[in-house]
Amino acid sequence: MRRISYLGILACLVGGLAWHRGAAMVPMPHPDDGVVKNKIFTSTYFNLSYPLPSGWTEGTAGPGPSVSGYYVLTTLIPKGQFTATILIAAQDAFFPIEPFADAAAMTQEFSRAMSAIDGMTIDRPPSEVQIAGRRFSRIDFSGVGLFRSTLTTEIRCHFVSFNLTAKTPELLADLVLGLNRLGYARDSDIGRVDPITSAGQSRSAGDHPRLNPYPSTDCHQHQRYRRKCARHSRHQRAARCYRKRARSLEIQAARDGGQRH
Amino acid sequence: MTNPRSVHARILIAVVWAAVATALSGSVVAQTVQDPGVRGGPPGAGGPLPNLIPGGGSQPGQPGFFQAAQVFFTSVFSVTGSINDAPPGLTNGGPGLGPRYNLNSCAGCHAQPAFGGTSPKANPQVAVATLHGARNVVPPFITLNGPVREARFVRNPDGTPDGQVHELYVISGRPDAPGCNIQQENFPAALAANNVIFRIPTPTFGLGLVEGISDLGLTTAFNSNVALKSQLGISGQFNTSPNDGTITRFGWKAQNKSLLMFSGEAYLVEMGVTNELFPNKRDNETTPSCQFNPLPEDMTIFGTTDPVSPPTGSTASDFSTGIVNFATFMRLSAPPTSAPAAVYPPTPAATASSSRGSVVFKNIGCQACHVTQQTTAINGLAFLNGSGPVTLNPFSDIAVHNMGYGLADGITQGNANGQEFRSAPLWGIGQRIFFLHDGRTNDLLQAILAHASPQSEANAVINNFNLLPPQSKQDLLNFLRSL
Repeated sequence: MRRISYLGILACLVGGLAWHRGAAMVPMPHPDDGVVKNKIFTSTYFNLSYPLPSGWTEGTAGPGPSVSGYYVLTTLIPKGQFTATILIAAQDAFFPIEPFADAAAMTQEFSRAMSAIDGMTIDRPPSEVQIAGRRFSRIDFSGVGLFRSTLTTEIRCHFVSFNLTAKTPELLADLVLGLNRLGYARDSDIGRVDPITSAGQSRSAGDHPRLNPYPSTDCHQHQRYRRKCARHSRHQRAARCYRKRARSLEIQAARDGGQRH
Repeated sequence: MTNPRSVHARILIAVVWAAVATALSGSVVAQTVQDPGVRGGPPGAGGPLPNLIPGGGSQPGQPGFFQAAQVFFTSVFSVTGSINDAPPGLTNGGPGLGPRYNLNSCAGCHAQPAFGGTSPKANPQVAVATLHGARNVVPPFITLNGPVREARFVRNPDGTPDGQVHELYVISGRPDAPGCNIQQENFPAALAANNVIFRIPTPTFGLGLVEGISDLGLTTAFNSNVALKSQLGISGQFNTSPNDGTITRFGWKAQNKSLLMFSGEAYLVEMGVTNELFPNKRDNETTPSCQFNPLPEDMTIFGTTDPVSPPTGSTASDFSTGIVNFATFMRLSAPPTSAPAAVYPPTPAATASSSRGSVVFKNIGCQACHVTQQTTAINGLAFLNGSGPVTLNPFSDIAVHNMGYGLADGITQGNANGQEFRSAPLWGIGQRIFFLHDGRTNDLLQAILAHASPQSEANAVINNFNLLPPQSKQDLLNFLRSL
């Protein structure tokens, strides 16, 4: 009987160790892990997939993560004539140089900044739109022959923005409509796409899962850590402090997400 | 009677011809986008700030100090001070040159378009290599029509990071350096090992105003366009002093805290002159046989006159060290003034183009880093006649940004890593000859395009530039050459 008990304990230890090692071997996704593969941009961290427009490819890689938590996820360009670009970027919501309450506030500030530029026209003031089940803040603007649209959404305590630039308004409109193809990166969510709708036609929140791939990620906890780490006088030290704590949140969130599935 | 088939053929030919002509004209337009070149006319820089405080009695005050400091800046140095290499109109700088050096005066490198500026058209580093019998070979990256350059090695022989300046020349062979036989660095080998990078002189005009911007002022300007930067893939950070944590701002990587530090470092590293900030010769190879002066060679004058230099008429200058004079020259110099157009004399069409180019500059996002306007602190320029903040247009945020693989030099200085550089101030760019940190091009268009490469923060802005119609690109170039 005692032998059986020992064997049981040993089995639990080995099993636990194996489980732990298995968990450790699964790489933790990072905000800047986005890749273009098979003509689809995919970000596991942001649970985001975006099939490239027909005839497009990945452009020159952007910089690595900044000390202020800003990430260039990818740049997309047409293969042939250079007529437009798409830049997908993310900004940590709680660690930017200039914090914004939400995507709408960020877009409002952006609108103010663009309005102040000589020769820039705001073609479409900031407004909320639903694209593929996600809520975006959108602003369109143009100047010196470039037509641009910036659409920003909030995912996992980050402002994820799609920055579209085109030589013509028609091409810009096509690119905006192309965002209908936005989907989810996780296997279980692939195929979930929804058409673009205006703010007035937005679907109820219950139609779609939460945007965060790990729903337990607590933005408020992030904010508390940010305040705590801001006591460090040097920016980089504060960044390290925050990242260390944020990572613990990510690990917890990943575990929560893993248990859910 | 006209054959309808021939009519159709003529129409077809006309249409094809028109299409070809249109295509050709388009390509001509595309090809004609070009840097208008160095703006002519009088130098837009080189003089003192307009509102310096005049002296009382027999003292010439700040204007006199500026003039005397300019004499220091333009004077020419030798090993012991016994050789006067100063051309007519300039003065003998005294002792301290070597044992390794890049040139023998400040103004030799900082010469375009006036004393205090940047690399001149004819590179003085060619002639100085063998001046007075010095045994040097001009390195392959130094040419008569190329930029003045300093060289830095990326790695030490053991593979650890180097990053320091390795001076081009030695004093061996000169009559004022008898018995000194140190050898020149092996630059061909360093080039072959891909272990050497270059820097060209930064212009020094108006830097007193840059020094006068508070850290709060810099961060406020930096933060004011954070939304714009986030739309363009731009982040950036400030370089900071390890001594007090405040923002450093001078040099290609904003690695120097103050103009005095900037002067002291350059005095030692570029000419070899030890001073009160850098009192030791830096070369480990230095032997007593190459040591000819008591150190530091530049120090405060405690008598009424410098034993080498004659009185300047400015007591403040006479009692100050060389590095204080250099710093004063930069601190009291006026910023470059822009012109109405890229050409001199300006034409209405050229002026209109530059004006449109200003709009292009802001619309495509150049000003996200090349911030057009900064403001000094209230007390930042107390030495000026007329207190209060001064608004300046350096076209720089003074922050460092990742410029990608294409411009990377692999040198880390403070917070700035091997790919990061300070947003180069663009004021006065209209009269500069060479561009980018290593002076790799004298074509402004190429300099713009070189901003884009993998991992560069400027990629989105350069994409915007590439999307522009040719006329807008030309307008931008014309605007920049008007600065």
